[in-house]
Amino acid sequence: MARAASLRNASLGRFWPGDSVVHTLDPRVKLCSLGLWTVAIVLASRWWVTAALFLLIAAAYRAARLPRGAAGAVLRPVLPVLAVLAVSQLLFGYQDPAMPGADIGVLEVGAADVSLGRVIGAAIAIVRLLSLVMLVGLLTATTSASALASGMERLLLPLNRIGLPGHELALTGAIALRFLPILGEELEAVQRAQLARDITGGPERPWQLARNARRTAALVVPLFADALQRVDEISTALLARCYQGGRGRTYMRELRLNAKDLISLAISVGLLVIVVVL
Amino acid sequence: MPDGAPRVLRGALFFGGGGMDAFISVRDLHYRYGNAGESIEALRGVSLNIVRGEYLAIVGRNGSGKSTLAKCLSGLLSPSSGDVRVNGASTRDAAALVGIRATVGMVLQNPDNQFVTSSVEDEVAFGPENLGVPPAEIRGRVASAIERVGMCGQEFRDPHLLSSGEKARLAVAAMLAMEPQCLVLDEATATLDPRSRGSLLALLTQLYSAGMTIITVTHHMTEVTRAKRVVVMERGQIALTGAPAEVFARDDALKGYGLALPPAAAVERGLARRGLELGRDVVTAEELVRRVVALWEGEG
Amino acid sequence: MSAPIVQLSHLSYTYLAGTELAATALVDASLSVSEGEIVALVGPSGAGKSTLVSFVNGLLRPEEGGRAVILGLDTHDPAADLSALRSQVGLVMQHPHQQLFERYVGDDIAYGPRQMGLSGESLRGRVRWAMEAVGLDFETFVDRRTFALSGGEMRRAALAGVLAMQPRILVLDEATAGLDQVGRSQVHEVLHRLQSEQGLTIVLVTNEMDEVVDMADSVSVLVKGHTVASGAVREVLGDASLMERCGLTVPEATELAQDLREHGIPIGQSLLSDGEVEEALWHVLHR
Repeated sequence: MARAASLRNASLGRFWPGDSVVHTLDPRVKLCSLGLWTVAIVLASRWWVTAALFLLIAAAYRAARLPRGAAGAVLRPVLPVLAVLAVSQLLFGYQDPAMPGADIGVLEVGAADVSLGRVIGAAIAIVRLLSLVMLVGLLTATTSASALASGMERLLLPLNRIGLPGHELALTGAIALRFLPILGEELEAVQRAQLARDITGGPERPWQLARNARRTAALVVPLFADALQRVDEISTALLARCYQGGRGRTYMRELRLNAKDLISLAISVGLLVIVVVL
Repeated sequence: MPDGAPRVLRGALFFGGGGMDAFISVRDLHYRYGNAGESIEALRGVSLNIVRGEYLAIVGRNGSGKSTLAKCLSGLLSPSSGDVRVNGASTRDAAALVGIRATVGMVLQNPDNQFVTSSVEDEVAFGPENLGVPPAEIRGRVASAIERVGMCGQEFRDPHLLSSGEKARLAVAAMLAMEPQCLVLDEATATLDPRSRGSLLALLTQLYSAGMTIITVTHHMTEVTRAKRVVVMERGQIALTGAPAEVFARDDALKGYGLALPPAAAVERGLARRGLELGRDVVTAEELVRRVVALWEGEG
Repeated sequence: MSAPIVQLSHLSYTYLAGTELAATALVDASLSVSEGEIVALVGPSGAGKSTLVSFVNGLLRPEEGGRAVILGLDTHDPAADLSALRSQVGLVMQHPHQQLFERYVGDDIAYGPRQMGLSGESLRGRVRWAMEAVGLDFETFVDRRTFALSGGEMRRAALAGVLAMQPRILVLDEATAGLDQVGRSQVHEVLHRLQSEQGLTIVLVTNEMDEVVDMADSVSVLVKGHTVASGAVREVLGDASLMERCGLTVPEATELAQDLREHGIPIGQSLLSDGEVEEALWHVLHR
């Protein structure tokens, strides 16, 4: 049941409406910035650069004037992953010999020697992951699904001009996202139906591989059949609404770049350049 | 509605209306599903003329071909053989299909599988955007379509979170924004609760009074009584056609086609069998009440 | 009527309780079903009907203050064997494709009884019995692929799969929604036969008032998680003001009778079907 419920409420994160600087930026600029900042975070090689980027993102949260729980809501689902990352970094992480403290032992876990260097390395990895998650969270918190879809469509539109299915891709992505909750409901219904006939009872034991595999397969088949059926109906609906791909398509909502947008974009590009240089 | 000179949007030609010539004409339509080895003939020679401003109901048991016919009328399916023409343009002409689909808008049965955006207004705008309508005009069309279906104030709601009645109305609005001359509804009321069904039917009646041609595929008999003409499908062919009163008068035949009578007609038929004649043409509750009252007051 | 074999009282339920997405489905709901009875559960969409019937087959357990006793089993008791309950209470849902998952019809129908320990000849016999009960010819359908069936055949196969477990109680959750008259009366025919021949107890969740009139002995009305009325079909459905308050419509025949009454024709209050209206009119007009 819990599995279905989480799928049912799946989205990239909650949208908090507002009118801050971050909210009102053109979605295309926000999407591009997301890409640029992500590359910056990944490429940052100095620990203080990583830390600075994280602080910048935190500052952006402030600028977006989001309610208090917003950041927490973004981070909560990722905590288990963070924990796993931390542990694996501590035990098996890359040891930068140039890092201060590389030779100072802190812990001994079996055959592994955990040095201070490793601890710092683990901390940096965590901050990096946090930055990425917070960045995506910031985007979805300040941009409505409609705006995101518009932004994606418009960004991919040039592809249509060279004969590639740009708009089609954006639309496919948007539809897939829209249908996650519906598939979640479907999954829940299928679970109910199957549970009603499953009388072998007993709690789920993770080591009963064959049985669990069978159960999962039994869930997947009807779900797949349902998804295929929906695909058929959706494509008929698109035909009925005269969808002809991206070329020549107009848009009700006109996106226009203003000074603020261009400045933000410039900042993001500048940031990436600085990070690469450093 | 476009009238007079043809209007070109994204290469689709919209022919104006006017004249009493058939709006949609169907000639010996055959439609086959599947391929050569194992195919099912869903439509086996259907011929029909639909006049502008009609309210037509298509009924029949499951598998009789009614949904397939509806899809052929709106250009979503092209005939295997035979001809379907909308304002003179054939549905076998690939270039004319977009125009036909915008002229004859089809609302499918399951609204959930029709919505592709995250807000009501985006959804209604989707159709005109596809047709290349200029942005300022789209805004006007969206506002007017939302108003016509009575969903003002709901522009920013997520389509998937609407109630089933609201979803049905949104699906209609999404079609209205493309300014069709005809609406085809495929069992749009099948999954609605009685209240929502009533309000959707009221909406259709309103649109019909304003000049829209309405074609509904349904198996709800009371709904059928609102139509001006009924077509009964059986095994891919038209078995019976005529005004509701004529069709429901043939209750012996209807049973064979898997159809029941609306309550008023069933009551009238039952009384007639007992020797009390109120008139075979009674199909609606209003008419039954009128005849009963006349008889009652006559006796009194 | 015999003692209730399903007794649900004061049930409340909230999905995802404690999170920000919590949704209360039931506040104070009850349901009581006697053996061999057909009970209809009606209410506007979103009232919580599916949630309520999930207590009947033990899928959900009652929280504090609620009670759910089915076939003598108190599901609140942590030691209760809910899996045994599931073989006694069959659930048929609205969309048959959600239930069928085996490749072949015969295999899918055999799934339940096989779990109950049947095999070989007795298993085959049980599958044959279940298929015949729903009108699916054994020889023709047993080796058909489930996804090659038509909608109506799938529905029958899903019902057979549940019947094959020979439950004492059958719950149908809007299982006839969207069916045409013919399809619906076929299902009703099967259910009536099972009730009279095998004493099957049936809980019918539905939105169609005509179906309630055709099938049910008693009806329970659920509105926004509260059980607001329950009793004999005639009392509840015939009460126009109650139906109005609950956001439900009366059967079309009842509305017709109401129309006639408003125009001065002295016919009775709670007429539920075309036949009853006809009978009443006959007596009034034939003097």
